[in-house]
Amino acid sequence: MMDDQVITTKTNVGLQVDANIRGIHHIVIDEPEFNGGTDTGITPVELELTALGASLQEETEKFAEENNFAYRKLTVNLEGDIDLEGMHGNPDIPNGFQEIRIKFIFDTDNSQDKIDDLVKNIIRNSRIYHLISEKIPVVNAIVRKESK
Amino acid sequence: MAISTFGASVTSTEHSHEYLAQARDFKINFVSQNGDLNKGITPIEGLLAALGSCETIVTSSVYDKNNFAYNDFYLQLNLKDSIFHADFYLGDHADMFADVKRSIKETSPVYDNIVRAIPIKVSK
Repeated sequence: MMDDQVITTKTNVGLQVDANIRGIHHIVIDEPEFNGGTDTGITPVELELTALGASLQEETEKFAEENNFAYRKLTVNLEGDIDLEGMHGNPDIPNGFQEIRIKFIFDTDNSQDKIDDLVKNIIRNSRIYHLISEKIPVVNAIVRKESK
Repeated sequence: MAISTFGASVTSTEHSHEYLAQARDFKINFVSQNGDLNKGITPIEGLLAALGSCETIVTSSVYDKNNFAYNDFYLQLNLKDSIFHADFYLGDHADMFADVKRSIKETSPVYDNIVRAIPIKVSK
């Protein structure tokens, strides 16, 4: 099954990248100045964290509808630590997150036990959670266009 | 050690299947897979954009080292059968692809996050 498709293009501004999603949405992605960018957009790792948080929101809403779990608001806070020496090529240090921390903040009248049960279920069902917390292959391939 | 902490938050909205994400001053509208896809991107699309943009930035650094212009390269990403695919269109610089792939393995944090498996701690 083919899932979604995204096209990313380098712009001519510093490290800035345009992400084109379905030809409808464009996201500006950049790096902060301390990492060589011009800080015109969200960073790739921040975008990764938001995708994880949105996936958890999606699963929460689904579980709540199916299990009569009422809540007024949910905020998912996410943090991740990166050692920049790894990102800059030190082979002894991972260049991605060392760990990710997630905090759920519910505005709800449900008990803590019910909240715990919900969180356990949505983590089990969140596709992004599994894609990040498990080893997933990435196939980078070159596409050569036919000469005219 | 030069640890940097990156953060973001995602909040439910008054509209079902719509979520507002924020990292520093940057906001992104997300929708669920069953939501109105005109109103935002899905979580999977967000992750694909994160991977693609990270690999694009690394590719641009290889271009910079060789004094190439950015006029003809882009990446096309999808997720098929739980495998991420990034197709590189490098135009006249396709012969640089081995360097690009090596740089991605050495310096792309989002690539690393996907292939390595990251521990996640949850609190309520």
